[in-house]
Amino acid sequence: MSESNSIVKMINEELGINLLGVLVFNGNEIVLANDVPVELMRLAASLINFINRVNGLEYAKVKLNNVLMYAVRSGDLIIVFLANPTLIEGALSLVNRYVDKLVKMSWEVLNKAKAIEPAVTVEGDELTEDDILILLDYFKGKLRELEAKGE
Amino acid sequence: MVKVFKLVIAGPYGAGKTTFVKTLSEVVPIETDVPAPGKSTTVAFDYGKIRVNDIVVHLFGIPGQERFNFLWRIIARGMHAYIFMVDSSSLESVKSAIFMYNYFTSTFPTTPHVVAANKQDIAKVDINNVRMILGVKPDIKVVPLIAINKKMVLETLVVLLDEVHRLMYGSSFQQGNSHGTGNEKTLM
Ligand SMILES: Nc1nc2c(ncn2[C@@H]2O[C@H](COP(=O)(O)OP(=O)(O)O)[C@@H](O)[C@H]2O)c(=O)[nH]1
Ligand SMILES: [Mg+2]
Repeated sequence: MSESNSIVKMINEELGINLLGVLVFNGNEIVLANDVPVELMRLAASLINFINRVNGLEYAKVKLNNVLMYAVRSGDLIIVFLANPTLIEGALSLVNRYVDKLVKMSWEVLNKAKAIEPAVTVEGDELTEDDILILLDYFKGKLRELEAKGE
Repeated sequence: MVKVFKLVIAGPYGAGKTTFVKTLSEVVPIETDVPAPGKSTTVAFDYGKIRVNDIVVHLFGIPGQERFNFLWRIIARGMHAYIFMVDSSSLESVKSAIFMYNYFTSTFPTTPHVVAANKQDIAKVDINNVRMILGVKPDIKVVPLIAINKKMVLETLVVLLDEVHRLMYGSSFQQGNSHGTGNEKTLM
């Protein structure tokens, strides 16, 4: 998160522009994002939904709700740059040079996730009502113990 | 036979998930060694295992990169229930949870959950406003929490388990669909 904030900052400083955000999607899931407001995330996600439905679309440029969105596909990933609509065409194509770096960062995140996957794929079993009641009893009992101790 | 109960603690960075697990570990015996088969992992996430008779409760906290929902999906797969925690000490922090809350409620619509409005000791947003901001449905409970308070931590678990019981064996019980399957739907 802080890394993605700093890459947006870096792009803005190097290009002298004012990007609102950068998000990287894998399918319809966000892999990387700077601290963009929720509304912008939603806009980006709706663009992604559209792109995912269109075969072979390599990039898209859309103005929606006063935000300019530029999406670039790179393999399985799609990078979305969010900018003010006043941003000139030429400046927008300059962001292309950051795509590789963003893709690399995203794969690092994805690989980290893969590494934890075996540890967290404990799947819950079918439980009976009794099982739930046993658990309830246990934690209620602990509560009573605390109360008895006056904590 | 040992059965697994999988419990997830969700919520944005800073909500109090780590604190919750730590406090719980002061009242119940928790094993915190992550069950990583074969390899060790460098990604830190909150984990605890509590043995109650023949049931093992596995507790998973959403890890550091809270904004990246593919991690949420991986962690949440197969869970029975979740606590969605928010930091109610500022309006911004509650708002920062909206995206994640929407993701969880739309991806796991039938999984029992409670919303825990944490940091009640320094709360700036009351429970009703937490409910309103997140759009919590009327039948879902929003519980006040101070994650460093042992009693409140236990109470949160009790409320959650009551919800699990109500949803599984109350009038709204749906056979075989009582917990999340991990078959996530689309993002929004
Ligand atoms: N005042 C107060 N601080 C809390 C409470 N719960 C957690 N914190 C603090 O909030 C910060 C973030 O908590 P942490 O458990 O690390 O959040 P996480 O990112 O969700 O794991 C830490 O400094 C905690 O000490 C609470 O109930 N009240
Ligand atoms: Mg933590």
